[in-house]
Amino acid sequence: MAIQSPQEVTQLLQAWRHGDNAALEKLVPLVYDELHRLAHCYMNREWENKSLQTTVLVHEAYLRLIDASQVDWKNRAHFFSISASLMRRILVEFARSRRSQKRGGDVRKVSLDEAALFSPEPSEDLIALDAALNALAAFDQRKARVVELRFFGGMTEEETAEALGISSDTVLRDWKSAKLWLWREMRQETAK
Amino acid sequence: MNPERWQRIEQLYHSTLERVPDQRDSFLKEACAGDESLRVEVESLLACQSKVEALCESPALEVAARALVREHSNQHIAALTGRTLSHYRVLEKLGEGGMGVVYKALDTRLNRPVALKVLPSDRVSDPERKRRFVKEARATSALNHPNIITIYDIDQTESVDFIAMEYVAGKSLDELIPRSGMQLGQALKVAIQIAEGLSRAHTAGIIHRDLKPSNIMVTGDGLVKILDFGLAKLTERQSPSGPEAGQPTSISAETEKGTIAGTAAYMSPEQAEGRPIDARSDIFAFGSVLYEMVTGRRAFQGDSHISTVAAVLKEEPRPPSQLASDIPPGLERAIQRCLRKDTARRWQHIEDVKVELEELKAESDSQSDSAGHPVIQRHRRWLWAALIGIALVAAGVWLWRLRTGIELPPPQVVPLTSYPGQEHSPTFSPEGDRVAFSWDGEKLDNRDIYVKAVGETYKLRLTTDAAPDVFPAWSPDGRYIAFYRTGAAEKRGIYLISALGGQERKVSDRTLLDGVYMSTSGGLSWTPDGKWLAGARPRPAGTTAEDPSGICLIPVDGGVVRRITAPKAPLLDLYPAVSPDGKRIAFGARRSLPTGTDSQPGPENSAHHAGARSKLRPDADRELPLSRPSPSPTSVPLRHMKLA
Repeated sequence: MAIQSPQEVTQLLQAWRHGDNAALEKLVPLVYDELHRLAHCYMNREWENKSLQTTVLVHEAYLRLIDASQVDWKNRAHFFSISASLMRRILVEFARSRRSQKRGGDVRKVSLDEAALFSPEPSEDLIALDAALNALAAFDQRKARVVELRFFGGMTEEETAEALGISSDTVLRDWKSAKLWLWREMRQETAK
Repeated sequence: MNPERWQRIEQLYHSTLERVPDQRDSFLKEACAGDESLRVEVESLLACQSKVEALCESPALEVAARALVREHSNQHIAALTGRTLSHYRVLEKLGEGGMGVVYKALDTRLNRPVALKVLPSDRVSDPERKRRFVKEARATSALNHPNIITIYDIDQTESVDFIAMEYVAGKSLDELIPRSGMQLGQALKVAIQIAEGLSRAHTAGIIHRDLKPSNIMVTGDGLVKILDFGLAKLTERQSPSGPEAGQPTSISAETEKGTIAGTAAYMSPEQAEGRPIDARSDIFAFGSVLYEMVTGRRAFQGDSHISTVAAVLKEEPRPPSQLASDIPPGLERAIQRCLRKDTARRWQHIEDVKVELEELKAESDSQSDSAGHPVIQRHRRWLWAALIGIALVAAGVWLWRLRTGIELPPPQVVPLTSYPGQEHSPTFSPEGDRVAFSWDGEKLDNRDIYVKAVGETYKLRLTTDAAPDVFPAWSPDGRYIAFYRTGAAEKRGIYLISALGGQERKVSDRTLLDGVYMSTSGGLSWTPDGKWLAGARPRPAGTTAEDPSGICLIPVDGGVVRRITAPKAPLLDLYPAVSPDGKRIAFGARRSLPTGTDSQPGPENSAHHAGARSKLRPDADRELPLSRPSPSPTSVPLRHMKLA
């Protein structure tokens, strides 16, 4: 599929927000496209210095998917929030589909290396993170939202602050605190 | 969990982190005031601090994309494992680094394990770049130093480029540095070896370009191996003006191309700025690594790549002594001098850094070793020289019976070796199951060290260097064999090699071997703690100014050689032997031979002749005396002295 213009993506997001489920179906492949594009870039650049380049790439990918400049200021906060939860939904769904695809596939071919794929570092396990985030929401709703916006929505501190109507300092504090909580929760879950 | 409890945990976690590392434990203990479960909980979270911080730092989109990449590369890796590249059978993946994936493989021709580094295809696709890279790899492969990983082969097959190199079982330095830093002695031991490896490479005109803890392996025996020499070249962009491979290559720091080579935290300022680099750039990186080894923290570390680079360019790291308590001022100065931004004010040669570190290590050792410098007390007690026949006798039983006065059956001589040429100076392993000896080989052209298990036909050749290797001496723990390498001046020295084979390591340079008497001055003897080797330094021919001769103690792990006897010419002290309790050294003292001759009849020559005659030929079931007085009329009087 051709890369959509940011305007189109934004329109789809807004349509979905207003209850248009067909819009979601169109959005999912767009996110997947970005994922594969990113993965492709990583593969070609895997051996070069990672941190700098990939930050730019991810940022651009997010911008293509969630471009707040297309939204009028009154709706920005809501737009951020809805985009982040949508990204969360799509990406976690993506992780689940990969996992089940692997498990449902040819059993004989599963090597140790592939098995390792299913138990990545906690920081790489979107499914576990999603579950821990649900638990955090029951404990402290705002902190869970901060993580959703920043981690799944790829938003900056300022954008997160704007979406939640809190200060950037509070975002930063919540962020640090939430990470510690999530880590502990995920570790307990793994230990079970 | 109730919110109050969580709040308490969180608050303690953050306030503990605000303390300096060595105060954290006591702070936490006090703050928890006996609530043990609270302390354990916080402590377990603190132990994962870096992972907690890393959590969610990359956005979810990136995490998902990386999972796709991993999936892809794992498929690729699964495809390589079990396959044969050229004559290497790929066994398993060992790891992955910036420069490619490393596998353990079996060299099916030589039947030895190797490490295969498979290079990413896009990295070597440019023919010019590849040509330069191969040139560099060839140069590196010629380095041949125990502290540099040996490159065996560089090859391409089925469009896979790979380097075959020495397989080393060990850990990389970044896995070994604890958060509070390494112990001083251990850090110096490792650092000196890194410096030795770098020094060798710099002498050959090769710059590492990407020295960092993950490029430094330490084996279980503490031997250091530097990996990936010059490989960083693959990720560098050529400077517009310097296309020649031998020229320092500048590295572009253009962010849009994403081409910064090397790892920011250990990069020199000139490298970060894309200016031409030379060996002093490695010295800077060495300083960063040493800093991290002794403090447990990186010298330069920002939140992002850019801020790390900024720190390298502008900031002075905190003095190591503020981060760790036992850092001697000399070490701090040495590190700071490595880390000077201005290359002209930095150490100019890694060799100088090495010498400095060796001195620091000797100081630190002598402080920690309460026994201190061996005290010399000569006892003029004369002992008779003994020659030991080198056939394998049922010696244990025989000796025991000799002592207990039980009548002996005639000893049975069992041949241990029956090779052409001469086998010399056998030495038993401490367990008594193996014998090391030196042999001049099937063609009688290269004397090397061999090990043979008692009762087995298989022999293991430990050394292969063209220079003659003589006088093996087994370490008290049975793991190493020390020996002398003679021959060309640049090779001469005392070396150490694992009794199972592998890379040899130079323990001491040739100063101990100068002069003509080396071959007659006797072998090496270990102290029981395995830290020192006793050897005899001869008197060089024609020297009048300073006489270096005498019995010396050579520190096995590097450091200053201690001369413990100073015989007056024409006397020479020879044949050192350390007592099993490590308290005394016996040695011979005799008049020196005329310069340049080695043929005057003397006990040492007798010894050699005896060795040659009885060279383990299966010629007879004859009676062989285990020991006997020297047959020579000019016997060497032995002396002994107290060490401590």
